[in-house]
Amino acid sequence: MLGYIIRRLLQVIPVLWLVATSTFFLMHAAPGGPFDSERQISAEIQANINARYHLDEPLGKQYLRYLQMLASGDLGPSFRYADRSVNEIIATTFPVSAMVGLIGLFFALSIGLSTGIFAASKLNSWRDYSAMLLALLGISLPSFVVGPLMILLFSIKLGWFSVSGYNRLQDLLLPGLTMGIMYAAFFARLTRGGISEIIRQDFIRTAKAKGLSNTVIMLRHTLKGGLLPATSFLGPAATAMLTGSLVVETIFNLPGLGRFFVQSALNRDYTLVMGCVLFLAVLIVIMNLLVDLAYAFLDPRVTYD
Amino acid sequence: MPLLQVEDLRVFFHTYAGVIRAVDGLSFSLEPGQCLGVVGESGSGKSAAMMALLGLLPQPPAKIHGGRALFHHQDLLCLPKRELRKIRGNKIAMIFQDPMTSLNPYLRISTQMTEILTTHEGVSTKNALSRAIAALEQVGIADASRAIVQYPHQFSGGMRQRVMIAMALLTKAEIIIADEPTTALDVTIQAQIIELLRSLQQRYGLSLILVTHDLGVVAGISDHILVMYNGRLVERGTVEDIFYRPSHPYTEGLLQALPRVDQQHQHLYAIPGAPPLPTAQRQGCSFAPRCPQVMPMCYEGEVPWVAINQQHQYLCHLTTELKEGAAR
Repeated sequence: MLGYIIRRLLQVIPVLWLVATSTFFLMHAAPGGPFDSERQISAEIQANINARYHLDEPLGKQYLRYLQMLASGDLGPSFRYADRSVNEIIATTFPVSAMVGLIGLFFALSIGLSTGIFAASKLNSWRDYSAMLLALLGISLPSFVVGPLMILLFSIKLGWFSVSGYNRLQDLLLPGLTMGIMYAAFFARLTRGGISEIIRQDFIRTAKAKGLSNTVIMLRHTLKGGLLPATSFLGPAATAMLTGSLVVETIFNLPGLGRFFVQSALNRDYTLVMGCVLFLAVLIVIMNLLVDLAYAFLDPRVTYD
Repeated sequence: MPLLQVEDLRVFFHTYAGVIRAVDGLSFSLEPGQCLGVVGESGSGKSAAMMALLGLLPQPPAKIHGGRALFHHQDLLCLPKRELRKIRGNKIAMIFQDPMTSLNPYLRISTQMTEILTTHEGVSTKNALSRAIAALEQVGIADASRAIVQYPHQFSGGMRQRVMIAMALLTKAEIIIADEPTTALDVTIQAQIIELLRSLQQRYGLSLILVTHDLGVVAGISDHILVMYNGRLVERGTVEDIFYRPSHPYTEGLLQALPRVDQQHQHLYAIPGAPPLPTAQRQGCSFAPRCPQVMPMCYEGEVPWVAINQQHQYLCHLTTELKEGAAR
């Protein structure tokens, strides 16, 4: 098991190299550059800037220079935000996004799983239909609708939180909830689907024939297998939530990673884009590993060695 | 007094294609210590009847349209769910057809066995575990204390069926219903499982209902046999009655279709035709279209029971006199 984990973690290295290479060439292939602007600047200044950031060198040389930098754990300077390194930007913005994401994850799992179990405990009944209708609503409503509604209710009407910005820790609650609601809807559907799949199996009939109560059958016999689909989704969902969302961070005006990520692509901030992508790649690999380990925990037939 | 007395059980399935009369007026009784074989082909309603007794059929689509099932002066068919749960797995245990899918793959054998005892008898987990190990030893699982912490996928099919049987033995159930316990197993394993059931039945005086489509399975172990066709009981009798003096044309056909070691038949006999569609309207005898001795009257009206003696009866217009006449 430990050997498996180490091997999986070592796989990060080739994955990162592939991601770095493809992002590097894709970014440089995109038209425009980090220092293009409406304003005309003299050729001399342009040349100076290019020399400062090594943009005058041939692409291959820039690529090798970048890889060398990466190998030492340096993601380079941001092209856009002068005097700030990419490492620094990620280090300051990620905690905000991660906190929002953790809150979101908490809401997504608690609301999602309980709604899914509630719906599946009596399939094709009014409680199933109403829970799934709610889930459909949660999936359909975009966060730029839910977010402002939350602000309107909790911040403006009730005055519990700041309307905008990040001053106190509790200001992250509303963005977390906004983000969590959509994922909760996904988790609810996946949980219901997973459980309804298990509930049809022969061994549930055996459990009934043993005289077990419905609660025991649901919690002990159904849930482990029924949670597998939701578990698979947990990996990408957790990564997406922890790394922040442009929409949620814009609505609530938070200094999170999600905004910087999207902005950097628009700005052709080569190093910041690649830094964010690589950071995301590492997170995804780790999350997927955690999901695979959770799989082995839920289903004894899954083994790794 | 019989341990279980079922009278006129009717179980219908309401589907979009129409009403399926899965069990249509089944009556039988089970004496203590008796082994009752229920035979019939797929879809004859034998499993549905047993599931209905324990309330295991999903309702809807299934619906019990009538009948009684008396067990200790209680009618199983109208017991509240709570009361029925106290009987299931405790007083009446069930062994299912496919041991590969009937055990929960996500749980250890120990969990699946001890939960029966902790639910019905409220004993401690430790106590339950030692009894579960003892039950596994009874059914011939070697190194039971090590085997019990394993998961079902680490067991072979035959081993899993032994586990299912051990589960049924745990609570000293008064009745064990085995629904096709050997169908999903290899032939050699089938013989072992039947042998195990037979020895357990003799040793503990179990009352056993053995549901199967395999006449060979019931022959060696049953005292009485019920033959079902298309949801109805068509013949009942002792094992000798059924095998040596079959009276219903369907039972005769079934026995002719058995391969025999003492005869060199090139072709095995097969009953012509196919069972009627389950949704078909029922008029007269449902075996009539396939019956070699069919008469015009077979297609209409109610078919009477012919009683040869107290224990041996069959559902047919062909009375014993008519049969003798035909033979002459």
